[in-house]
Amino acid sequence: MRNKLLQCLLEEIPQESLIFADKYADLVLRIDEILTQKGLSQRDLAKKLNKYPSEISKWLNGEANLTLKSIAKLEAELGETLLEVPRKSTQKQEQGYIRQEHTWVSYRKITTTTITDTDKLNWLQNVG
Amino acid sequence: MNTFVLEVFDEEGKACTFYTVRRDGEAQSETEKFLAKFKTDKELREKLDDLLAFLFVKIAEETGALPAFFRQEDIAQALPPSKPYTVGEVLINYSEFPLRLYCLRISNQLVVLFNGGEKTSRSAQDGKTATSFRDAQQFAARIDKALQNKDIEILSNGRVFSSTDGSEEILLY
Repeated sequence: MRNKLLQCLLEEIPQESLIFADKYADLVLRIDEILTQKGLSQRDLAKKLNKYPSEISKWLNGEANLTLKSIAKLEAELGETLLEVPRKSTQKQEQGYIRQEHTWVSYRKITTTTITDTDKLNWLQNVG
Repeated sequence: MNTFVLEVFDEEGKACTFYTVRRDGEAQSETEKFLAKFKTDKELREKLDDLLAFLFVKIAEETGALPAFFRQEDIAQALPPSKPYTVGEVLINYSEFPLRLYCLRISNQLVVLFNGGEKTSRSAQDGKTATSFRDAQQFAARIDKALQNKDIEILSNGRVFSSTDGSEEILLY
């Protein structure tokens, strides 16, 4: 069962709104997933970006425009790709389907770690 | 708070069911009032379409009502903090999104939608959302109380409210 007024409105929804909802939701979940994976709170992220926690909260909680520039800053600091834009595509038709290949450019932050004597010992033990 | 009916708004999605509330004796539910407010609004109809696509296509069909999609408002303070569900608003975190729709998120599979409005003030308690915000608090508190008192229950599939007295209509006083 679906409310009739809702049904009428859903039938009129333009494609751009469907695309917006799809990409917006995926972006929110991606940011959330990375923060969780890295064990970062919004406060931690603010510190890394040298911003006030309230500014980050505005980015992530809807009070400020999440621009391409702010997404780039988030990607740079989190070291993970949030948006991927196809750079080149090849297309060919196969048995009634159009097959497309895309390539993306992504940036991943390289984290450097200090090798300790304990690490060296662990490696040697593993080799043995 | 007047007597109201808790009724299905959209149960067609694979991932989430939406309920709404309708004041006893009124023809329109609170969420229908919200839709009616903006469906002929030249400036905000596009935003309404974005919100509907987000709720009834993306959330309903694919992701479910994940916590990341909802902003917990002060309204949540009306409920004890130990409750697993949250009261707040559907959050579109983009370009100072102008519409606010208040809701009670029970779980990823179950959400009760209320009324909402155009955000015209920094605080939800002020401006054009003030009445909807206050009403949402009261509806949510009443639904919470009914769950605690076991006047209503959520069936085992997690997507259906049911009246424990066996009546078909869920009427809350």
